[in-house]
Amino acid sequence: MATVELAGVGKRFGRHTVIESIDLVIGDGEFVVFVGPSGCGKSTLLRLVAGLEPVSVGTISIDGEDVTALPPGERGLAMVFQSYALYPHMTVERNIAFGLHRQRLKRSERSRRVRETARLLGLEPLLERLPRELSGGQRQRVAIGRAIVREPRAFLFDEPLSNLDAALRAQMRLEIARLHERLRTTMLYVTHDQIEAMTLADRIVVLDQGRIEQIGTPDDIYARPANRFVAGFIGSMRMNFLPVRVVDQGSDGVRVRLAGGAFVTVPVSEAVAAGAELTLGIRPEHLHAQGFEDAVALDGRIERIEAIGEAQLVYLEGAAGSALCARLAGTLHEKPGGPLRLWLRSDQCHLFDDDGRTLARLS
Amino acid sequence: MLALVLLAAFALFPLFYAMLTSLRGGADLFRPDLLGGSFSWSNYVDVFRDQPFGRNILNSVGVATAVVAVSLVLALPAAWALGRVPFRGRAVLLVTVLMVSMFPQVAVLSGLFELIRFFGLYDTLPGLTVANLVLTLPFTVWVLTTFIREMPQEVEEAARMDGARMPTLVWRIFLPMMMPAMASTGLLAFLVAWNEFLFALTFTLSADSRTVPVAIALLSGASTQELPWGQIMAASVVVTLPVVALVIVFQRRIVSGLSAGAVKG
Repeated sequence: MATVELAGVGKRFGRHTVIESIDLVIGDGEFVVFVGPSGCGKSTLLRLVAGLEPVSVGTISIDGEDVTALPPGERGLAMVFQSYALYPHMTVERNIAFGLHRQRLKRSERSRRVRETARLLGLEPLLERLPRELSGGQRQRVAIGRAIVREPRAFLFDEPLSNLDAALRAQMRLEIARLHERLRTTMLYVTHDQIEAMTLADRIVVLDQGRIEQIGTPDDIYARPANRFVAGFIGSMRMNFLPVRVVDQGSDGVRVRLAGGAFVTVPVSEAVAAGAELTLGIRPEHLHAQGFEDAVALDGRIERIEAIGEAQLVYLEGAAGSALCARLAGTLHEKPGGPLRLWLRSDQCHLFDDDGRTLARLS
Repeated sequence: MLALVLLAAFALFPLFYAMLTSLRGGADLFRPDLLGGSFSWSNYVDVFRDQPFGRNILNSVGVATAVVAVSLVLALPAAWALGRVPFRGRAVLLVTVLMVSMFPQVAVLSGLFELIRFFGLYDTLPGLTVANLVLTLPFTVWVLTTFIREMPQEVEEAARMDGARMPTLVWRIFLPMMMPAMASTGLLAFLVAWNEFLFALTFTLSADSRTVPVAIALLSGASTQELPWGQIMAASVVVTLPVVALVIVFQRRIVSGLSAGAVKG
């Protein structure tokens, strides 16, 4: 149980800056997920916390104790690796117990903890096996067991599920969520998988090019992205970004005109000049085929329809400056080439300025 | 399947012929048929009685074992540095190591001879061991380097997270994981040293310091006109069978070890 605090943490490899000065406080028992595109520095950040890489600048503290100079084994952290990284020549039991030997625990205490961990993860029948005799899911479970058994102050997960197939991944994700509920230990989790981030996190940290783009609850990040990068990165389907021109501004927000001619009044409080060019963001799942009260209509021509089973992705041309992607539930009877009217709610739109910053909303 | 049988027959016939001949004496040696005539162990007795052949075997075992031990002890840290520690000129050094292993033995023979005489190691087993290292070290370093490069770094990091410091890391993690590679390179080094002929012929003089290949080559009969075929074959069989056994025993280890499975599926 621990708070983890990063103050001005940065990392350079030679002249190449991987992490710029990062300040972050992770609360006791919190589940924090780092997400970002590959190369954004999320794994490096985790390795800095682990102590596997030395920081270039800044300090890392755990429970107020400065651990920046401590080797990995003395920070009281446990890590689960993407490749599992089990000791190939040791049985499951010895894999799990290895860290306890280093902690100089009594033999009885050691075997009690190993047995408890094995029971928790359903590993009891596998204790005598070698890693090569296990399936991928079992290996991942052993890797998690090896972390749990040490009763660390915090867990670090480095893309732990990305080597598993989809079905197993969903199952293990659920198990990790249960584990956190049960242990209530601080967890830092790196992933590029949105679903993992959204479902597991108390707070999500979105990283890009070594900088924090936004920190917030999954709801926050999804509904109120701080900038265009976060808006585009989070969401199972990429947000539509449309060029718009400001018409005027009133107490109910900013009225903008789309390239196709439709007007939308986005509830934004920030002052903008009439005639300014902005970008409007709307998620594919927020476009609908049926009209409703206060909805804005967008007329266009269907360019393409992709059926993905539970829904259809419809690409609409002519309604806005660029093709618009809508995720529509149910079956659409229109054919490609035909006209279609889509509806949106203005409060589900976002406005971004030239720098990609989200304009402040009416509260 | 037929090709396999033919290949096996082609490879094994010399050994079979050697075993057959080693059991025959006198005129029987020249019988064309395979199973006719009388068989006896007398060649095996003679080969040990007429010269210090037992001593020669011990020499070979000693030299080969020393070569394996020294090769591995020197190659492991070298391979570690070449595989894991980034430093300037690493690639050049690796290629140089490979080049050294390409030198024909004869090219280094006279130079090495001077060196060994200078150090007073002529006609001694340590001298032979040093000479054999020239042959074994380059490829042991090379093979172990390749293996270390392919060893997953995350296992090492997992151990560090588990609190392992350098000695524990080396003894409990690296060495056990390296065992299959060490066994296979060690075995190859052993075979090289066991079969090495040119250095052994050049750097030894007395019958007591000869190794097996030289001893067999220099076996002489009662007169210069007679070559003791039976004894030569008996000696060959005696020194071949243990090596074959060694390979069979270790091969199982090597194969099972290489499919380790520390990471992924």
